[in-house]
Amino acid sequence: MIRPDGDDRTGAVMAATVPHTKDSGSALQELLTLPPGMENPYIREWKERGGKIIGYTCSYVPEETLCAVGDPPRILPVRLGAQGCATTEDADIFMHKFLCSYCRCLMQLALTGAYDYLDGLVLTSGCEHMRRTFELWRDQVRVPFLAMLAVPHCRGEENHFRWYLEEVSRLTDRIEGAYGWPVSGDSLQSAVRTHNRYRELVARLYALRAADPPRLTGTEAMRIAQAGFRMPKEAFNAKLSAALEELALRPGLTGARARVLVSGSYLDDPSFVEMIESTGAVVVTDALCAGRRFIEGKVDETAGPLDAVARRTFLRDPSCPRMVDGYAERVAFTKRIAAEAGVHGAIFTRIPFCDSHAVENQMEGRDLESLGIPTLHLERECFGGDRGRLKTRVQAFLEKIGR
Amino acid sequence: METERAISRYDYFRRVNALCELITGALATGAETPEALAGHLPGLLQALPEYHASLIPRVYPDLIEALLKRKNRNAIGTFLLAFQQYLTDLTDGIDRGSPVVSNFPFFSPEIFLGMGLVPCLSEAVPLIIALALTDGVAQELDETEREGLPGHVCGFQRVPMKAIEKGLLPKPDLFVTNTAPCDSSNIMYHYISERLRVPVVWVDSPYYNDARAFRYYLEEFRRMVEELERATGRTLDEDRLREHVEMGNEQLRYLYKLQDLRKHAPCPDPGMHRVLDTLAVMMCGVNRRMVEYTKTCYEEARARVERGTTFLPEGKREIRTLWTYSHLPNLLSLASWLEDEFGSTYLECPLSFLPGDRVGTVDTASVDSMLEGLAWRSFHFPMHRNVMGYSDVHVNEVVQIARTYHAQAALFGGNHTCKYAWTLPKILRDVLEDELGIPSLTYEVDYMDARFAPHASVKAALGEFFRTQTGSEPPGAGPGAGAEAAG
Repeated sequence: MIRPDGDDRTGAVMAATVPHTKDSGSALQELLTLPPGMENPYIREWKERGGKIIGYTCSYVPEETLCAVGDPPRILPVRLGAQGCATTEDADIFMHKFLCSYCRCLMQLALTGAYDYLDGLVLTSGCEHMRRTFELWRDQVRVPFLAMLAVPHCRGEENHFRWYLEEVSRLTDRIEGAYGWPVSGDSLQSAVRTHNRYRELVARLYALRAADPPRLTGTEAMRIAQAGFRMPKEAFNAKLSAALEELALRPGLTGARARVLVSGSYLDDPSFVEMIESTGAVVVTDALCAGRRFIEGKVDETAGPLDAVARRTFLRDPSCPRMVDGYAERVAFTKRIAAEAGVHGAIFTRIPFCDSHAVENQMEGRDLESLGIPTLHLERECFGGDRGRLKTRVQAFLEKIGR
Repeated sequence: METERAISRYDYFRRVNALCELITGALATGAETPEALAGHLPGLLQALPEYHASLIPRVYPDLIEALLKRKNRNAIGTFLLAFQQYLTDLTDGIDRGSPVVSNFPFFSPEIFLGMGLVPCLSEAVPLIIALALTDGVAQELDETEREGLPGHVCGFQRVPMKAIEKGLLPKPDLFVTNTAPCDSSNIMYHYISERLRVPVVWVDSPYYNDARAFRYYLEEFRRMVEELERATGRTLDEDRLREHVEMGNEQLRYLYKLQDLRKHAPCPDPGMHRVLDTLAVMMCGVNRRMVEYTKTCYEEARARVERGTTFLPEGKREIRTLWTYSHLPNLLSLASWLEDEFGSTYLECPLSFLPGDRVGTVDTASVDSMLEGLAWRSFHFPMHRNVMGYSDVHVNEVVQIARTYHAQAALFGGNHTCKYAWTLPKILRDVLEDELGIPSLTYEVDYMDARFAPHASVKAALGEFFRTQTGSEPPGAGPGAGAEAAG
């Protein structure tokens, strides 16, 4: 068991047992325990004040443009997760088992009311599973506002960027048309500054996580990152600044059996990271879409804001493996963060039927192995289960690498 | 020392070429049953290299039986001659040292031919092996899985990657593909490119079907030609391009007329040809013989309509069946078996269907018009028009076909690696049953790997479905059968 020096608490255990209390003292505690959905006071208050909640699932949706709708901002973008979904029995009526469990969990949560608070959803053409999600949310869930943002698979030519920029413009036009709230240059510029600040702060969180000894567990880091997807960014930035101060005063975690990196398919479930850490390892960094990758690269604050936001979102490296270019940059990123965090091994996970990560994991795994970083490949479902077997595999991996 | 020719140097070519020779030889004997063919076999093998005989025990027996049937033999025979011609041209080009381009199947080969490049359908050649031989391409599939690529990554890319690596297929100078239809294809071309150190020329496929999307696609298409010219040093020869485009146009005109004929009852075109139609569309304009294949199918179907005859067994009532996803390439004889057993005719499937009113033919007036026409066709090919957009495109097309062809049953045989397909069964089943009263069956297959859904299990499922439709008993059922078995 990992223990902070001189303290027998673990953040993960506390997060699971302490109820959420907004503005009640510890910012760290608040971020660690912020619930999803209407139990989340930020979401509840946003709606009570007449604001709209728009969900999204893919990092190619530029959050800044959603945050810039209205003055003061009227839309709270929430990145949808599969947390809390333990079965997909209703979703499976519409979505076959050959579709990934992230999409099926989203559908299940929607069909059972967990996403009733959503006023809208923006999907992308990110992958086939997500594309097919669109029609079901239109016809079965019937979310009031639904938009598709078609993202090119190539990035090398100006016409690729132009298409994406047009898609972003069309999205903001549709939102303006739906609600009558305009997006102004000033509000977008303000959202850009807030999001750049958000990226800086989360990067500091990752630095504390990757420190030796780490100041927080990977489970805690994921809980905090997830909180950042379900509260206004300005409020999150304030809380995270305070939380970082709390973390800096914390004693480091000692006695870790191994420092590992986690990468692969979309992952938003802290209990999965907790399972890895229950073996004594600490997940000191990640190359996940909703983790370290999400904050890489800032928006140019000196350029035209819409163009600059689109440029950063679409052209950033590391890209998603659904892009047909950019492998060299993606693996270079993983190598860099692995080196920065001084990892003893890397755990690649994939959701069954996720082709992009299934193949990318193999490619990156081989490249990391060639640098002497041992790798483990795990298959996991978003609805949990199988944890005993997966834990045994992590334990065997740690033994294999002599940790 | 003389270099071995490409046709025998690359084992996949050698196998496919031998299969073509064996089957066309078998058809030339005039035998219409395996029993009749057995008598001709010694003479047939005497005229062929020893290697050919080694393949015979591995050919699916059901396939041989189906190929020899009168309803199938002419179309199969002309198709194989066309495919052999393609192989000959391909391997001759390799032997001459021409640059080899491995292109995504639903890309127009005319452009590559117009540039004097050798288009190699690295994804389609293994399919011929998978559909003919019992061991298919299992070895290559298993080897990729041993390397960590899971079974849900499409075999259409896994097999060529491994085959090229093992020298069973030639290593191309370039891969050319669009970013349709799937994640598996995109990441695997990326993977293959990294692994084999062969560049890919990408044509980005936008995710919509409207005019804006086509303008984007056309721009990409034109850039592809520029990139090919830069990479190979070859330029597009207008006359050569026109020659192949005209062949492709002629081929498609026959296809459109054939599709129209299939609206007749009983359907005059045997279903086994749909797999070949798919391959023929992939090889549109590749040679004169491919035109002959489509023409043969058309003329046979037209003659049946004019004479009022059918290929269905005497007294068998037709069940007009719409395959709402695709055929099953590795069980080529399936459609023929369904016709004979249940009277189930094969109307269309989205993998072989081309809406002639939208796709049309290519304007050959200039290089520009030809490029635009080929881009338009590629944009509307199977695995593009019904994949790169909302599923409504697929659903509406299927429903329209069901109405205009008067379908009576629907089969959704989905390839488990085609993720885009797997919300369609429920949507299609609901709309076909509720609006048109058409019953559906969904089953899961792997196009390349017969082990995923063994042929016997597929036949059992489909047989049960059609017996339910016809109210017939399974073979061996009933009191009389029981008594016979006991005796």
